Amino acid sequence: MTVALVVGAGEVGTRTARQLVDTPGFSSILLADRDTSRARSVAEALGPSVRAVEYEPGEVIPSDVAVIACALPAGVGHDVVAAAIAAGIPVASSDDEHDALEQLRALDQNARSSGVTVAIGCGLAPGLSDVLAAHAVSLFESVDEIRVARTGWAGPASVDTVRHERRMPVRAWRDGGWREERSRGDALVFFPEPIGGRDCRVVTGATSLLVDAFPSVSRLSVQLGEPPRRTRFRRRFGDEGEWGAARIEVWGQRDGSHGCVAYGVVDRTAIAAGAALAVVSARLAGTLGPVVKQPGVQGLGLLLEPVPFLAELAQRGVRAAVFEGVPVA
Amino acid sequence: MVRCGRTTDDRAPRPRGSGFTYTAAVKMFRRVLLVLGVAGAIGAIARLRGKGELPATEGGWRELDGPEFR
Repeated sequence: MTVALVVGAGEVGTRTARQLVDTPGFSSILLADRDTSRARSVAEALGPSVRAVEYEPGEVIPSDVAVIACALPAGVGHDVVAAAIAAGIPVASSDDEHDALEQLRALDQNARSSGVTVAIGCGLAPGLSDVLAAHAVSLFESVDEIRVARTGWAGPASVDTVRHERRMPVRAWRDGGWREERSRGDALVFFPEPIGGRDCRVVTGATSLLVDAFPSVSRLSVQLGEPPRRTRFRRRFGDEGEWGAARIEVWGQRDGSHGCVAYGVVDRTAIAAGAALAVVSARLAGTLGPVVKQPGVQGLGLLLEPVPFLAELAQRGVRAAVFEGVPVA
Repeated sequence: MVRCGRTTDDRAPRPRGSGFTYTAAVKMFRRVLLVLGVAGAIGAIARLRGKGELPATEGGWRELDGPEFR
């Protein structure tokens, strides 16, 4: 039977471990966190199949581990991924911050030469949004623009990442190339109810994962909503976490006319991210269908077949929706 | 010496230059109040005008299922 190591017992890591408990094929889930007492209490709450272990990023991976799910704050997961590549173990990471993603993408050659599959950006957006984009792209004859927007954050570390991304200069993919752009401020983006319209700003974020997956699309952009100020002063989030949403718009030609497909997801951000990370980990371990083995460091838009992934997430309660009507261009 | 109908000698002792400073400070204070009031009014108007109707959209969200997963 298969053993999974979940590194990070925060908002996302806890949900990931919870989802893996419900995934057939895993005999045991190892949960590691720098706060060992938190890891222990979460493991006790999740049942006998989850065991807290002492593991620090960069240390050698325990020998019986078949797959690693990394849910650490931005940049911390690099050492875990590097150790996983060295040990020849597939790994999925929920990191979504631009610099951290670039550091992980820099490990691509190592992963390829070691024959290790590394899935990065495994969350709500990036992650599920990239798979939905791939699904929407398959409906078009040619695509000229993909816009991904997200509002919501999985925990305090996620809030910090969103704030950081919104402050940084924007590198956008325009006309098939990277371009530095001045921030144009917030624009209203409509998410499925009950989220509705939220102000979002174009950020660099995980645009590079979209470029990897859809290099022929001339315009790609990622937008992030602003977290409310109150979250800064809250010691911890409620048990169910914050609501979040993603919207994926794909513009292109189909049936001889120019049109758009808009997909959306609404869920507790940590739950959606945890479910996505768990399903990807299970696919890498081969406990949910055939093993996904594609050596290198890749986002989900490049790594996964959309339909089985979306169907599995829908079974776990993370459901996507399609906008039917006339969207705002 | 007579100034403004009073001699300089019968004025109550006041801090040096206080008359001029007081008048200028009040004028400045009034101007600041006026500017803040006008700015507030413009801001309020802009805020109210900015909260107009949402952009028109027709339709709604439908959960993906069945055919989309095949």
